Amino acid sequence: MRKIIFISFSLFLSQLGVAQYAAVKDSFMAVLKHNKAEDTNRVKTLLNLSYTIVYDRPDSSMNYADEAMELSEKLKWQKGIAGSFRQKGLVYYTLSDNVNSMDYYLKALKAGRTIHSEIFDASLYNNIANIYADLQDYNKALDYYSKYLSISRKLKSKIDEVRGLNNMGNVYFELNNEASGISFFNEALAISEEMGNKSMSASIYNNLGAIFLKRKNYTSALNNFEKSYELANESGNKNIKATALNGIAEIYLNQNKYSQAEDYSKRSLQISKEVNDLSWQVNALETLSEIYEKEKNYKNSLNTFKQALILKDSGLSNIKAQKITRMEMQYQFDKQQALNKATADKNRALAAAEINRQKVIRNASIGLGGLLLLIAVAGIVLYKRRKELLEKKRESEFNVLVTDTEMKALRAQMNPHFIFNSLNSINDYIDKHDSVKATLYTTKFAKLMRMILENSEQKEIPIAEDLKALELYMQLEALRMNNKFTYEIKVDENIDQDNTLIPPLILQPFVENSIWHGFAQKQGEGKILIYIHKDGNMISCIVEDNGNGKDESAYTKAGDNTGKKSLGMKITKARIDIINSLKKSNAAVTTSYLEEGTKIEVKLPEALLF
Amino acid sequence: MIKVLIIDDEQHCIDRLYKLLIPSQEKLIEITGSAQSVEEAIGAVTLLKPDLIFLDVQLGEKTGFDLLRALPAINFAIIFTTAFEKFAIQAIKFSAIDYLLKPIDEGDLNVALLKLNNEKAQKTISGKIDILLDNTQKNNFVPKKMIVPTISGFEFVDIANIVRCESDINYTTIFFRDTKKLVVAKTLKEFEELLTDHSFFRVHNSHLINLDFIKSYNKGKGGSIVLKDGTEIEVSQRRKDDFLKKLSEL
Repeated sequence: MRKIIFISFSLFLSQLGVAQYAAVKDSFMAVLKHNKAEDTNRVKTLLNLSYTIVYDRPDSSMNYADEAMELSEKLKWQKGIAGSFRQKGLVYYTLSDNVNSMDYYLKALKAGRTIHSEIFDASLYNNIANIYADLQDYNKALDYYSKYLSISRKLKSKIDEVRGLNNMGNVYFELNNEASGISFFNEALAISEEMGNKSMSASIYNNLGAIFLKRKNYTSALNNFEKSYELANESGNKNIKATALNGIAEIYLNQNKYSQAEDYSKRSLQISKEVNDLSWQVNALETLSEIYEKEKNYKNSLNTFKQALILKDSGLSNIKAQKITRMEMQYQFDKQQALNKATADKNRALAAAEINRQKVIRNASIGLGGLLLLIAVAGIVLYKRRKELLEKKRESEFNVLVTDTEMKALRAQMNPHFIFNSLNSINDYIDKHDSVKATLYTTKFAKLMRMILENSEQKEIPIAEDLKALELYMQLEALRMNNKFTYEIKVDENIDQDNTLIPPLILQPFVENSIWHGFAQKQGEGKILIYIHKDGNMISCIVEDNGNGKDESAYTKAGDNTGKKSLGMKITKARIDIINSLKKSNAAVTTSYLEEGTKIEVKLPEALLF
Repeated sequence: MIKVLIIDDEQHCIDRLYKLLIPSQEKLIEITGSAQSVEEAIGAVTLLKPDLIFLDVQLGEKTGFDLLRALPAINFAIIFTTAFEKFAIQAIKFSAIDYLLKPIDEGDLNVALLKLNNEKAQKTISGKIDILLDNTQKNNFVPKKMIVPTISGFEFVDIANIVRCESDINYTTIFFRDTKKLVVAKTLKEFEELLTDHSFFRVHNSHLINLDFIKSYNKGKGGSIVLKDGTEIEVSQRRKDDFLKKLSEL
């Protein structure tokens, strides 16, 4: 029978005196009565009340726990649900229904996972360990107590540490490992005394007494039992008082101090009856019977033995019940194991699914990562390509700049060429004392010069403007040559003269050649035709004259003294080459000699302003 | 009779103009004198009270504009004469004052004289001069205003208020910041020539826009511009590159 005291949560209730107990119970009930609000506070109150009255009125206690459970579920309050499971487990435990108790403790443990409260878990480990201890499954009991202990230490909860140490000591006691038991008890005692928790200290002293009694170290046993009694008395814990008194009685019995033994035994029985604890009553009665036997008071001995037997009967049924419980538990555990296996399988499947899911996620992540990488790479490639393009663009811009400059230089070269030819003409008028013509010529020349200066600033100008300059040039030349030639300018109607661009003065050198060389040796009126028309996506500009075209030497020799083609022609060729390299076009100049005269065709890529 | 004063720092230019004016002199024009410096000119103007001055832009170290600034009142017509002062020609064009390029062409001179006779709005001359002097302070040409010919006469226009110009064959419609419109008897090309150097750009055959009023540019073949007044203007495909280059220079 239980000679030692396992400390569970409920033990602390015994710290309360009867009056205190009633006051606490009443205050909780008053709260429930006055505050009907269905909130978490009500759940807490219900659980506290259930906890308070668990030994006194287990049925009501269970009702309150059920109510707390219902409300918690309604509120979807996980902490309340877990707490309610634990409380129900405790109620079943006090009712010695270990199967249901274990069931609810496990449910509480499961429900508690969502609230992540280690202290909650720890309390359950302790209670579960208590059940295993009751079922004499000491290894499992030790297992759970260890868990309980380590959490208690981690959370620095001394009260839980004491409980854990004490309960582990009890297990070692049951395992006949007294040395370890004593060591655990002493450790527990040190902390308990430091805390000044008399009730707990009383329990531990009692347990120590029991160990020393078992080892027949009566002095130490007596010391511990006396200490236990003293503290139990101070804290008003009758259960411990009864156990301690019985222990002392046993010591005296073993020491053959029968009268003293009888005295303590009777006191123990009395208190055990007061707290209505059957097993301790049996303990006391058995001790008393033994004492009577030793005292050779056989009648009393038999009497007490009979009483013990009667109580034991019910107690026996208890033991039977415990055995049945164990078997039930075993069955339940086997079932649970099967269930666990199923659950584990399910969990494995879930885990596999989870792994699969994570795989998918991982794959997706890898895919996404890959995609990002790809994008990054693509970005880099695009950036690089863009950079290259920009560089190319810059390079080509630079090339354009270079050719622009070359072009400008070429255009600028036209000017001195013109100027000298014109100055020549003016000189000619002055020689002839024709001031009116000289003035006319000069002003026209000035106008042309302005135009050329302005136009040569541009890469391309509208055909209309270039033709204006060209016409002015021809007027000047006609004036100078006393109208030895006439000119005609024809532009096809499908060419928008204001919107079609040509390089400035591109035709002028050819006109100049016609005038200076074609007509130089010519008898009769010269004629120049400028004809501009579209030829596919090219603009064809024709300069046709009726001069001495066939005599090519006339063109080359008369142009300058070097016997080469005129400077203007050379410059124009160079300009067309540059245009081709810039526009990737196939602009060209072709010369054809007519029966009378020369035909120059300048083909340029069509360029529009807008 | 029109009283004419010729102001030029080179005698041969005065002589040349004198010679060209002789045929007209008998009928309408009386040449009252000439001057070769700003100081001399101030005296001549005060003394002779001419109706028309041929005014050379470059007068020694000074300019014809300096002379105009020095005079208390402008109550005569002006025809500028210049050889090749580009900024001066631009400035003169902005104030719509007539000018002749040297060496002066007889035909051009006759046209200028004819215009002078026809011009009803001689009263606007002091306004024109104001704009000219305003635009050419410290001999730098920073145009703020311009004079534009309208159907009814002349209009003074604040360049900064022009959002855009739209071609309408031989006329141009100017759109202003305050949503006002003005139809001007000038081609868009003429406006382009005047304004291109002053933050204007011809993005299209029929559109000249003030770059200061661009709100956004939408990419496209040529793309299009949305101006601050909400109008969307198409950019000619061929102008796109130059336009974007111009934008990047801003």
